[in-house]
Amino acid sequence: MPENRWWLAADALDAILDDLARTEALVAPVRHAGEVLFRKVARAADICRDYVNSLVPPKQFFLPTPETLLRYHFTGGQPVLDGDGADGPERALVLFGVRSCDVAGLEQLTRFFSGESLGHPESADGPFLRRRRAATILSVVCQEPGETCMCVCCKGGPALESGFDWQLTRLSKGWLVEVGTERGRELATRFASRLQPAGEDAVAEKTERVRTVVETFYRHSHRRVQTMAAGRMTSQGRLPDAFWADLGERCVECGGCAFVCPTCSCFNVADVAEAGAGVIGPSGGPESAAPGGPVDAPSEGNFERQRLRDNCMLAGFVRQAGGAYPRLSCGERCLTRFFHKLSWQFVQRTGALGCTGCGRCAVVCLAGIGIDRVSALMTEELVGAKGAGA
Amino acid sequence: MVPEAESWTGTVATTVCPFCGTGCGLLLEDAAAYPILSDSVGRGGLCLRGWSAGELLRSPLRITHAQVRRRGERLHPAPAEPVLREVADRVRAIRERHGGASIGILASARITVEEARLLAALAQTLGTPHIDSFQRLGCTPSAGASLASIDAASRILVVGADLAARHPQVARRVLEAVGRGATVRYLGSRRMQHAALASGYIPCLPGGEVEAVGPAMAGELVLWSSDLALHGQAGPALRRLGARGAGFLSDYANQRALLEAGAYPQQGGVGAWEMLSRAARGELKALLVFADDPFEFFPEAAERAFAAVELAVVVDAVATRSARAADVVLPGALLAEKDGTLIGLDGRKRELTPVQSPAGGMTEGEVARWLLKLLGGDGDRSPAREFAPGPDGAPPDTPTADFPVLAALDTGTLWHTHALVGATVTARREAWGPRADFPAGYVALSVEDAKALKVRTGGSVKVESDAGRIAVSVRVDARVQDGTALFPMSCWERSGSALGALALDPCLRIPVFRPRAVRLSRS
Repeated sequence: MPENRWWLAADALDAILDDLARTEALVAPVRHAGEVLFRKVARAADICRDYVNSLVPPKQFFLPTPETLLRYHFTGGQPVLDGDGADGPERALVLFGVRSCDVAGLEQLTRFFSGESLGHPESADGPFLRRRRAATILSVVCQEPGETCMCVCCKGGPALESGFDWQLTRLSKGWLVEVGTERGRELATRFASRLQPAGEDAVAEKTERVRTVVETFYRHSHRRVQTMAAGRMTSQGRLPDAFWADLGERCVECGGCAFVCPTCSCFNVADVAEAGAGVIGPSGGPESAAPGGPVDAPSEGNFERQRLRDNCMLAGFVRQAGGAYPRLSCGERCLTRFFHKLSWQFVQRTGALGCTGCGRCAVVCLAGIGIDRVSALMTEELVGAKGAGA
Repeated sequence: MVPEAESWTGTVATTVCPFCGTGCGLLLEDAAAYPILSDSVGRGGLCLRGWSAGELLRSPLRITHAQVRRRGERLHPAPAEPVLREVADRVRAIRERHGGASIGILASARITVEEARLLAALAQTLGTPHIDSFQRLGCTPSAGASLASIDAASRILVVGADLAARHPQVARRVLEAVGRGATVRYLGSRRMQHAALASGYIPCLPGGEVEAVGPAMAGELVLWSSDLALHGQAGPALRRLGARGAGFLSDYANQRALLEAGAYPQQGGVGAWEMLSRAARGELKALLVFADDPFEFFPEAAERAFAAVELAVVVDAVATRSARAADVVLPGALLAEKDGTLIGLDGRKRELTPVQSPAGGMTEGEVARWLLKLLGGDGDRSPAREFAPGPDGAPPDTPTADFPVLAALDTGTLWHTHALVGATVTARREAWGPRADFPAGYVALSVEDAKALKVRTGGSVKVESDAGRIAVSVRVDARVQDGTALFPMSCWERSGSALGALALDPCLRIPVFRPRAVRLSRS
C-alpha cells in the first residue's frame, strides 16, 4: 500500500528524533566506553550512526534482569503484598535503530509470552506484554553485514516484512520509511509535515540495497546458520549421542548464549530480600541462607519477587525440586537448546526458526559452539551419514 | 510524557569481574552484567560467575551497616564510628595485656593492592607477624600466565588445572589453540573437561602431577594452578614448573596483591589455618578479618577459633558465616566500589574506578586507615620481605594392597563455597546444586569403581585410611579415574581430618589435603 511507504529527508529524520526525545523516552544506539549500547538519548545528535549492532540485546527493555514482579513484607509473621501487586504504569519507549534480527526476536518473544505459540493465551505474561505494548519500534535496515551476522540465513533480516512500527532504510538521499502497524500510521500522521510519499525509485533503491547486503554476505562471510541440514538432523533425531556428548564436553555452562539471544525466553523467578537483609530469600533454611546461616524463616523484612534471565543449558535450571535431573548431562541440555533453535517441530509450533541470525552466541560462547559452528557440525554429520550410506 | 524514563535505562558503567584471577572486563547496566566486546581479556565473553556479578551490587547478603554483639546476644546494628572506636580500644587493651603477637589479621584477594598494604601496615603497627589470608591458598610466587602467550602458543601443556571450572576464559583460549591445530596436552588425576578434545591426556595419580610432567619440551607453554599445591606438592611444583617459566593461573581476583603487599606470615608469624588453632588454644586473643572467610573450608576450626577469641572482627562486603559468628561486623566494599589497583593473571596492574559508592558506606581500606589512626600508626611501614617458600611437605601416599585407592581433593569444586558466589542467585544455584543433592557431602568415584562396589550415586561408602575412616554419600563421576576417590573442597576439613590427610604444607604455609591411600567398602 503506497500510504505505508514514505520518504524522509536526512535532516527531517533528526528533527523527528529530536521531537521524540522530548516527548517520549527515546532509546537509540550510543557509544559508551567503546561499546555500542542502546541507551536513552536526549537528542538525535547523540545517536551513534556507525554501528552494526549492540552485544547487549535490546530484549533487555522487555525482559529486564532482575525484573521486580511484586513486592511484599511480613506483618505479624504473615506476608502482605505491597501495593496491588500489579506492575507499575505502562511506560512509553521509542526504540530507534534496532536491527531486524532483534525485531524478529521480539516478535518471537511476543508470541511466546502472549501464550500464542504454546496455544495457551490464558498464560499470557502481563509484565512482558505491558512493556511490549508501550514500546514503539523504529528499526533500521542493515547495509553491511557484521563479522558474526547471519540473519540472511534465518529470515531475520536485513529487512523484515513485519514486527516493526517503522522500518527505515538509508538511501543515497534521505530515508525510506515503511509503516508496519497502526501505531506506525499514527506516528506518520503526527509527522505528516515531514514525510513525502515514497516514489517507485526509492522502493527500488531499497530492494537493490537489500539485495547487495545479501550478496555481500554470501560473498564475504564464512559464517552460516545451516538451517536446512540442521533442521533435518534435529527434527528427525538423526544426530548420534556422541554428537551431543562432544558439545557437552565443550560447553562450560556460562549461560551467555541465552542471555544475549533475541529469541531466548528462559527465566527464573526468585523471592529475594532487600539489600542487607542477611538472607537471600524469605524461606530461610540452608538453601536460602549462606551455609550454616540461620535456618528459621524470617518473619520480618521486605522482599521482592524477581524474574532473572536464565539458560536451559544450566544444570541448576533443569534440576527439579526433590533433586531429579531430567537432563543430567550437559550434552543432553545442548540437545534441548538446539532442538528448540533449529528443529521443524519448533518452527511449526512457534511460527519461526528459533534463531534470527544475530550472531551474538558466536561472540559470547567461551567454547566456540555458537549456532554457526553447531549447524556446520550438523551438516558434516548429514554429509557423513550420506557418504557412509552410499 | 516521559514516564519512568530513567528506569528504562539506568546507570551504565564498566568494571573488572570480582571472581577469578583472569580479570575480565564487565559492563554493568544497573544490576545486569554483560561482557565487553572491546575488552582484550573477556573478548565479549564471561563465565556464569561474571554474568552473575551485577547481582552483588544489591545482594540481600550485602553488609550495609556496622553490627555489634553484646555478651551472648545476637548481632545488632550500631553506628559505625563508635564501633570503630570500640574496636580500637579493645584491640589496644588486648595488645597491652597479651602483646601484639596475640592478634591475627586475615586479608583477602577481594581487596585492592593499596588496601592489602594498609593491612600489612596495621600488622606492623600492632606488632604482630600473624598476617595471612585463606585466599592466598596455593598461590605461588612464580610467573603468571598471559592470555596473549596462550594465543601465540603452538604447544601447550595444562598441568592439573580444571580450566573449565576455574578459569573458563583460559579454557576458551586453550580450546581455541586446539581448534587451530596446536598440540595441547592435559595432565591430571581427573579427566578434566576439554581433555578429551586435546591432542593428549596424561593421567597420573593425585599428587603425582609434577613427576608426570617429564622433561621440558622446547617451546611448550605450561599452565598450572593451585591444584598441585592443594595436593601438597607446592615445593616440587615450584622447582620443576615455576623455575621453568610455566604460567601460574591465580585463583582469586586480586590474589597476587597478597604477595605483592606482604599480606602473608611475617618473621615468626603463622599462616591463616594455623591462626585458627592458635586462637582455639587461647594463644591468639583477637582476629581481625578483612573480606576473608575461615568458615569456607574450615568450619570446625573456625568455629572453635571464633568461640575462643576475646574479639573477632569481620569487615566484609557480603555476609559470610564468619560475619555471623563475629563479635563486631563492619561493612566492606566490592572491588566495583573501590579505587585502587588490581594485579592481573599476567602480573600486570590495572586501575579500578568505582561504579557506585560502597553499599555499606565504607571500604576495607577505610576501616584499616581508621584503625591505624586510632592505634597511632601512620600507614608507612618497612618493606615486606619477599615471600620465601619453606621446605617441602610430606609426599603423597602410594596405594598399597591394603589401601589400593588414593583419596584426594577435587580442586574443580573451588568456587562452590565462595562468599561472592553465595551472594548471587544464579551462580549460587549452579554451585550449590551438588550441595543441595548431598547436604552431608560426597565422595566422587569412577564408574568402574562404583560398579565394583555395587554402589550408585546417592549410595553410601566407607572410606578408610590407616589414620581413620569416614562414611559418606557416593557421586559417580565419569571424569574420575579408577583407583581414586575425590572429595569436593566443601568436605575438605571433615574428610581430611577423618583420613589424616589434612596437613600443613611448610612450603607455602598453607593447609593441604595430602593424597592418602584408602580402601572403600559399602556402608
